[in-house]
Amino acid sequence: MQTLEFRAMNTDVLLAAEGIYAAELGLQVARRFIEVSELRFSRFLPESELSQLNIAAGSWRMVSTDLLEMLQLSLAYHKETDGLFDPSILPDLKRLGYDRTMDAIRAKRGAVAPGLPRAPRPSFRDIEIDAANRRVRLQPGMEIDLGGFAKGWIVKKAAELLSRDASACAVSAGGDILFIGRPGQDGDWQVNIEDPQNPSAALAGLKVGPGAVATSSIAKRSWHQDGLQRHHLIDPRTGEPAKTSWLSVTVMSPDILTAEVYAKALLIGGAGEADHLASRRSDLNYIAIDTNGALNSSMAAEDLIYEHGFTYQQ
Amino acid sequence: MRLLQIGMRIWIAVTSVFSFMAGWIMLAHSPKPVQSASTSSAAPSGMSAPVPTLAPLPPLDLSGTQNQAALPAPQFSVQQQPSFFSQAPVFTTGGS
Repeated sequence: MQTLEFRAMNTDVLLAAEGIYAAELGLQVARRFIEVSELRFSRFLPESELSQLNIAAGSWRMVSTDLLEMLQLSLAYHKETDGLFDPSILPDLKRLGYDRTMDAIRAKRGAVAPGLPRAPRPSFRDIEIDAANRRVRLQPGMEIDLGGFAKGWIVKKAAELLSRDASACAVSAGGDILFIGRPGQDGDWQVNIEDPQNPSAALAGLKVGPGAVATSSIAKRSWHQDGLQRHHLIDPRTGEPAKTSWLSVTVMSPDILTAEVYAKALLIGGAGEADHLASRRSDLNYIAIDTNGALNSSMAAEDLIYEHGFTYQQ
Repeated sequence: MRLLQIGMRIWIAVTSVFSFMAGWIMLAHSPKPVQSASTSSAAPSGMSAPVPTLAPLPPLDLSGTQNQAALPAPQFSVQQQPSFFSQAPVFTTGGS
């Protein structure tokens, strides 16, 4: 097994590939793809395709097939989750101070500009997509942040690239992991569920096969504004950071975009809406961690846990 | 036949000695490298090719104060080499 670790998309990325031809070239190609994709879909880069689309809100704009695909899928998931997954919450994120990369916010010790009153924003459902002509029109005032969704999409495409030369491979980027094949032909992949309150400890160890594991957490990207603790998971219904009893949700699904979307939706929805939301996908399992460090999981997810509560060896 | 063989041997020996001596004499009378250089430097200045000169290089702006706004800072990345492991790595759900 060969691995390559680097930092991209403001998070740690780990590529792993097995197979005689996998090697260096495949790993470097996947890395390059991730780095280039970040330049295309980051909301923090004014020259990115996504930023240009946001700037052009109110008028039709030609987009690439990749961005078109992401926007179409986003809209479908937005409807499927009753709006809990909403990529158009960017104005709220900016208002709350998340207007630059988390690395930049951390460099200023999490301090951001004072908050502003919430202004009404158009619904994501009103986005106009002309797939035949590859055009998109955002409503005036609409701004898109594909964020974790774009990361999931990039992980998926990078893993597909890597799998061309590997008998088994994995791509992990900041909580989004996609496994293709099995290590050692019939082995399992091991995934540790990190303790959101203590990153050096794991609350459980999982053994999984091919498929995706995605995690959303309110502990990773947080900052202070006007003396209040903020985090990046915005409840689209209120425009404020989601008030939830869960600190993180990990979702297992064959598809990484489904896992990514539902990890976010389940965390925002919380325990009250979890079973209702998760029942929409029969192939979806989740493990949620509450503020007491307790695990709340769907039935089938319990079968994946082979180890409970341990600290990483230093 | 025997006389011819003796004659040939004598002729080869004589011509070898003669050629050796001739080469020695030629080398002894040829100009030495040092002598050649001094001869060339002693030539009139109009005969020697002018030595090209380079314009002075601008000083390095290590403080980054010049043209900072106009030119984006170059980004260099080190091509990290893959690591080899006998087993698959253990992944962690960091979350985002």
